[in-house]
Amino acid sequence: MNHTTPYPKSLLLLPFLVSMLFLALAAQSIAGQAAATLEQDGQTIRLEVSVPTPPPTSLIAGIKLPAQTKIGATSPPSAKVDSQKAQIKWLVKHPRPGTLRFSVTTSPPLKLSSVSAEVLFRPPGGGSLIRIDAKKR
Amino acid sequence: MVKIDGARVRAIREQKGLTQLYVATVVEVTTDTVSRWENKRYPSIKKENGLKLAEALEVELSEILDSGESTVPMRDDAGADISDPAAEKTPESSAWSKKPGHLGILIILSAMLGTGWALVHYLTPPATASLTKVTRIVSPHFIPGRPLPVFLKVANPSPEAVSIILKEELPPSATLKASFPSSAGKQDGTIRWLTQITGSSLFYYTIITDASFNGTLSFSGNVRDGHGSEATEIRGANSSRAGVHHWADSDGDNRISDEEILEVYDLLANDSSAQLDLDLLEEMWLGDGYLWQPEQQQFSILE
Repeated sequence: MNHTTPYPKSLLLLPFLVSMLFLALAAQSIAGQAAATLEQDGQTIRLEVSVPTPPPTSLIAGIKLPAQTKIGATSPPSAKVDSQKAQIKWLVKHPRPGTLRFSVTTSPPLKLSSVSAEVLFRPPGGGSLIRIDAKKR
Repeated sequence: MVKIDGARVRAIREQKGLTQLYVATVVEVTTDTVSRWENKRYPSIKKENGLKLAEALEVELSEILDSGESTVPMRDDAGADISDPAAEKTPESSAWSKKPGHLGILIILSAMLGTGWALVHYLTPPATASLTKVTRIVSPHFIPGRPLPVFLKVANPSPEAVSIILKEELPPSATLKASFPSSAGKQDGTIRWLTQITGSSLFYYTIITDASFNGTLSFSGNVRDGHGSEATEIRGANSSRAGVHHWADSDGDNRISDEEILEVYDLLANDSSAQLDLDLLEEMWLGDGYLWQPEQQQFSILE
């Protein structure tokens, strides 16, 4: 007897591929709403953070500068400044969906390639810490 | 001992949005242990811990076991059992092999019995137990004379609102300072909530001991819901030791890390009635570390 399945074998993979695609799209939609970009304007480094919807309970935005950089004014001012590590952090409680802007002036002016930034938060309702690296403009 | 699939454990935990701290609290191990389990390919762990781990991840134990561990009868391409060559040499096995019908029935019966036992053992909850599960999250250490929050994470699988009675016995050496939701009643050293929940909810209370207290606080409690006649014990951490580390400093390294402060704000969400000094906690996070000064009964923040 010739045993043949009513469907081509490749068709059996279809549900698996569809579910994988669905999972990938779901993950992208969660992470896709949160984003961070880093740009430079003379001596000022600016970090823009897009807060996802629904927003997290709190988030931390951080900028890492090259060692020995002299850190000047920060905006907003209530930042955690670690001069030794040349690192600035902001804790934002109850952020609203939209854009948050942070900036720091440095001396001397820096190359953007030597600066990095990240945003940390937990998704609403609990979960693993999400860490997003800022893209440079 | 059971051999678990570390990568699978991590994937399930992350998919369900659970932290290593949460899993470690439920299994009653350290976060380092959970991290080690996840990073090893197929670590061997105690079966008791394996069951707790599966419980924390809300899956069956079989889902996190190394798939190579399961004993599946070997079959050839035609689907026939491949018998053990060593066994074939014994007279008994020869007799059985001459009667393939008996051998087949024996295998099928064994498989059915095994499957039935596994289902009863791992899948079926006690007939009268509550469906609501509660996990207690409490820091392994606290400073006597300072507030200590105890979090109770309540989860019910039912999509509908369920009435629950949540009871927690307060440690005799501790005094209740605040509770959330504030509808809790206190009687004979027990704090009770009678309320309705849908899905997951967070309850918590804050206690304080005398500044001279030098010991360990033990916690116990249970939950009862409309699904079962028996109360279900609260799982998770059940003790906290007096020490010199802030309760939010879960790893006891004398500094409040980004992860630790975010976890606190995430747990407390929109409520600040727990009489916890969150401004001080933020100052600690801003600083390079902290030290508890028992003589002054205050923290000094390292800059």
